[in-house]
Amino acid sequence: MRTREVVIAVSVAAMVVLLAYAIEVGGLGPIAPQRIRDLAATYLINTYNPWNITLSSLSLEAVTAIVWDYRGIDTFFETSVLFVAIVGVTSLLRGFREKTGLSSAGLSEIVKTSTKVLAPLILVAGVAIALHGHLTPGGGFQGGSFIAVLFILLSVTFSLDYAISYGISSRKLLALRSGGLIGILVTSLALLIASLILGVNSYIFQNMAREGAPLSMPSWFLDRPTGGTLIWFNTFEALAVAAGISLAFLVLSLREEEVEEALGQVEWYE
Amino acid sequence: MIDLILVAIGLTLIAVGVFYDFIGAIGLLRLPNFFTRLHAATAGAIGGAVVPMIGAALVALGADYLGPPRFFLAGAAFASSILLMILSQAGSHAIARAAYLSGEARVEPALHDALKEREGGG
Repeated sequence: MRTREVVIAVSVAAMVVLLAYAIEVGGLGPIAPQRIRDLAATYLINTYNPWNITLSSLSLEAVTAIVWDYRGIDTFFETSVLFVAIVGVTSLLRGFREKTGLSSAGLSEIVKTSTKVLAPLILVAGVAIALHGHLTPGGGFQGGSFIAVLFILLSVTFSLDYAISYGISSRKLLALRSGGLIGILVTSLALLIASLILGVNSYIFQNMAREGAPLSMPSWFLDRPTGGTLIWFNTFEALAVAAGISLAFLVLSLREEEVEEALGQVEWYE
Repeated sequence: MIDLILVAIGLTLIAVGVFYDFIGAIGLLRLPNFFTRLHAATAGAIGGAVVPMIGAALVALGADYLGPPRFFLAGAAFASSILLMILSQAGSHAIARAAYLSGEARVEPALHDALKEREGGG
């Protein structure tokens, strides 16, 4: 037993030293590579290129520009995977209705006070990540996940009853999520509808003017760049993700009494 | 001169943090029951993370060659150290309370269990 512990300790220490040595020797190249591929260079040059708007998306953040502008349809279907999963969760537990007045009163006073300090910070960070998605790393999905974490944290520390007594219900969250998705749809079709009215050519998911499609989304708010469609996509995506993940948590954390009621209602449906 | 003093104080705080981490690791292995081991982990969180983070903020303030970005580094380190100081104790408290109330962790060896007396038999 004694020798076995010594062998384990020595081998773990040796692994740590060897890993550190390997990283020291081969892992730390220059952080920004000296040569970049032509494709990457094209995107880096054209992401914010006010001199040639037909190639640009007027966003300062290349990742968001690629995700929501250059390959917008791809991202649309990628994001709908999450929402289809949430639809699956809610339809599995259909007939589910939140009840108040069940046992739990949340965690102790110390944890509640700390959470009160933390909650506004999480909210501000999530909103900032979502709304600055076209300026700094981040975006709608990340910001929305932050806000969903806030909901989960509050409903664990203050108990689900507390959240429900503030008027949060699975139906309202579902409506918010659907509102976000409709917002994404409207944003992606906005220029197409405008072009049908004005009688010019346009594409779905169009952001800036392209060759033969002269309409652009407004890309400045006062003196701030908004990246055209990108700020709308990020806002609605944050709304949809925050409401969707909160909804999944609310539905999956259902209590015993609620399960019984939901099961009772399923028999009515059939 | 003031830069040198800041860096010296910061490095001292980081060294103190290493000491606390070491103590915390030993305590986690050697202390007898769940609650005392949680105490060792908390020593690692406050002494081994909050204190060296304040030290890192001071080092960043004193490191003149980093230019203006050093103020961002210092501010972020200082703010996260304050937040960690508020939050790590709340987390440990929640873990300890849950372990005590569910009865998963036995309170032995214990000289005196005041909570049990107050709640009338836990």
